[in-house]
Amino acid sequence: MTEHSQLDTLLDEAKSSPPAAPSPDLIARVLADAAAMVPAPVQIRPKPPSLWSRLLAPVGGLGGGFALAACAAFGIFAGAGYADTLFSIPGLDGVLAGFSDVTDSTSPLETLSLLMSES
Amino acid sequence: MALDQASDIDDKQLLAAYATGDQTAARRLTLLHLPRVFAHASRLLQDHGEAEDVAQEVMMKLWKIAPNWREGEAKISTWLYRVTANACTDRLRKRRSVSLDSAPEPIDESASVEQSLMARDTSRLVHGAIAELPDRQRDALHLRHFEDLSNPEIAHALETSVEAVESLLGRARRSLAKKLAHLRPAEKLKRGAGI
Repeated sequence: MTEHSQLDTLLDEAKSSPPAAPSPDLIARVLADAAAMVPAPVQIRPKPPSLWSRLLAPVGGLGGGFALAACAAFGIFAGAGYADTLFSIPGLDGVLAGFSDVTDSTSPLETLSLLMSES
Repeated sequence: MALDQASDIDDKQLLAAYATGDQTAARRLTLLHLPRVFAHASRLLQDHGEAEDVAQEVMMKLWKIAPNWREGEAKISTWLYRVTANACTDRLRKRRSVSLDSAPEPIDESASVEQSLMARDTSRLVHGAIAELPDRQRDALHLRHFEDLSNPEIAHALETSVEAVESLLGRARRSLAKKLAHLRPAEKLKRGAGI
């Protein structure tokens, strides 16, 4: 038997011994480590709505808020600056005159106010 | 125990699944690789408790590296062999660095061998002799004879050339043959006696 084969025989003999198997306890510890170290899935938390968003929500959000503000501004502008010219609209006098039987007002402005309040 | 290409891809897919939080993948990886890691550590260290500690450490490193594992990197099995061998090397070095004062009294080697053979502990003696080899020689011999890796695979695991592996194996075998020379007569005797 050569030295080479004698060494191989010893190595083969050592190899033939059954390899140590991990105990159930070790497996459990390794799995517990895996569970503890598992990378957390990326969670995108929704951003809480801002104060403005919450205030404008009842009127339809930001767009609704802008529209409402624009209408309000136009109303003030029209009411404050062009109330007299309102009656220069062709045909409006006639409309108001048609209601003269329900009101004694002589002023078209008073008639219009009365109509709006009744409606 | 060279893994084929398909199982390597499967390993990498499992690791990628674990990185996304799949616990089933972790379980499969554990059942696939822990026995090999533990057996490797156990053979190198010849200590059940230490081998368990090393196996747990190595698997923990695998879980830690999972999110950063890149395609094209080494096979997971090869990476595990390397990390296990390194962890065992550290522990064996610590053992060697134990002061002489705390070391046990030297014992009569022939008596020890005889007792071991009586207990049919050839495997333990061979592994003990392997553990005394220089680190690189020990790792190369282990991967060649106990894990059945080819020389190129060993070269990959040890991050060296195939020629260097051949040289390491040659030196390891010569050293081992000297260390185990005292085993041969007893072995022959044992076989001759039909034990």
